Amino acid sequence: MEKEKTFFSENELVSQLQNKNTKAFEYLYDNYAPTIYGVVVRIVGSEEIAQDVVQEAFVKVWSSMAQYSTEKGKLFTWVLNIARNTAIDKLRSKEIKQIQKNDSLNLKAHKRTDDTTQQMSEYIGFKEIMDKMKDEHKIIIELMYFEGYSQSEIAEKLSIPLGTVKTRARNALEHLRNLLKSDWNF
Amino acid sequence: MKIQEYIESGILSIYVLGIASEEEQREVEEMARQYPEIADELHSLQASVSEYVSQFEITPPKSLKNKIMQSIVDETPNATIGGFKNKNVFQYGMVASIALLLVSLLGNFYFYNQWQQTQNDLAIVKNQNVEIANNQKVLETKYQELESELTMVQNPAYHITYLEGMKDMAPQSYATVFWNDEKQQAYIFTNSLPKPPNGKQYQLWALTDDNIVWDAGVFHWGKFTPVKCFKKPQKFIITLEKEGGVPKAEGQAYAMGVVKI
Repeated sequence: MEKEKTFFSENELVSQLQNKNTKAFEYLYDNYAPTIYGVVVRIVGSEEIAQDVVQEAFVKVWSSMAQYSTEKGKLFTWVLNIARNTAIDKLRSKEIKQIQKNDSLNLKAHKRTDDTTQQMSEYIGFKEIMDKMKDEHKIIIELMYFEGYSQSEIAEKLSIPLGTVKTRARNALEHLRNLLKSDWNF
Repeated sequence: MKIQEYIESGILSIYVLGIASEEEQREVEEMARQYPEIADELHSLQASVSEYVSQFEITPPKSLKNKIMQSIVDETPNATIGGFKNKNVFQYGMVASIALLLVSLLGNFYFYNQWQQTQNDLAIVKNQNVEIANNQKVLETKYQELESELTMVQNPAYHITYLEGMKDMAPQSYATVFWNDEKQQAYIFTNSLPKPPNGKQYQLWALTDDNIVWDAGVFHWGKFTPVKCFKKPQKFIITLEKEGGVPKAEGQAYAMGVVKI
């Protein structure tokens, strides 16, 4: 019996996943699931729904591994995108709208989770980054990434011309990237 | 500069934040394939987003992992587990299980037999123990007899007379009579005379100085046996008689010894 892997390099992980190695998949899950789950919870606003979404997303990752190649970017980014898109689709579905309308508890749970994770993030300096980020950038990321509004919806919500939505996005990410860089350098 | 303009347009950010239209997505991917600079920028932005969102991480419940692992195994008949094909693992597993079962059954059978054998052996050993204990009792008795006989033999008050086998009946045989005429005690021992046939017994006779032959009694072959003692014996004779002895010697004489004092 082959010795169990406790560490996979990204290339190894990719090739093992494409080989349908369940150990590699377990490794992927163990390493990626907390962030994926956190992001999905933030998007769908309910841990219960988030679990279905995360399951769906990981199964998609497993079954479409053959389509992944390194030129699509980091494996994590690819997995994250699949999960994020699955979550946004769920958010857009009638099912969740119904739940969100009828169940304000979910929103409370969402809020509470948010506070906890922010507290937990303090020691790795994220609180600082969140504090340093301008609200307009945070809002852009929130609306685009976590709420998945289309560019025209955002233009409407923020009362800005459609043509400036992209530059707003660029400014927000540029700002974020600089904060993260300076965070690495102190 | 076309590339720089493209980067600054913000389309990459829209792409990374997941709200690019399908058409825009295809375009970005195509541009990234063509221009490494664009690909680099794209990856850098993705890294920032990844890092940003990782602050929201929440540990999912354990049950979620189990559910997900189960569903990927279920939907993938040829999944590999630790480098082996899933199917094969199940086949190996089945074969291994059956093999283990057989080994276990054989083991049970073997150990049951062993156990039975052990029970039997134990019973035998127990019997042997009893036998040995009995033998030991016998030996102890014999030993005590021998000890008292030895004490007797060492006692200078006892005379010892050796009886030699008659040349025609029992050449090279002998018997020994121990006698103490003060205490009027005598014993005989022989195992070198031929063992008497069934229904026959050796009988000892004593000839005293008055030329009278006395019946000293029958004795057991191979046993140190008390016999009658007479004053001033001159000769001892052993004859083979019918079991229980006879009042007057009838049978063949087997051994004879002259008393030497």
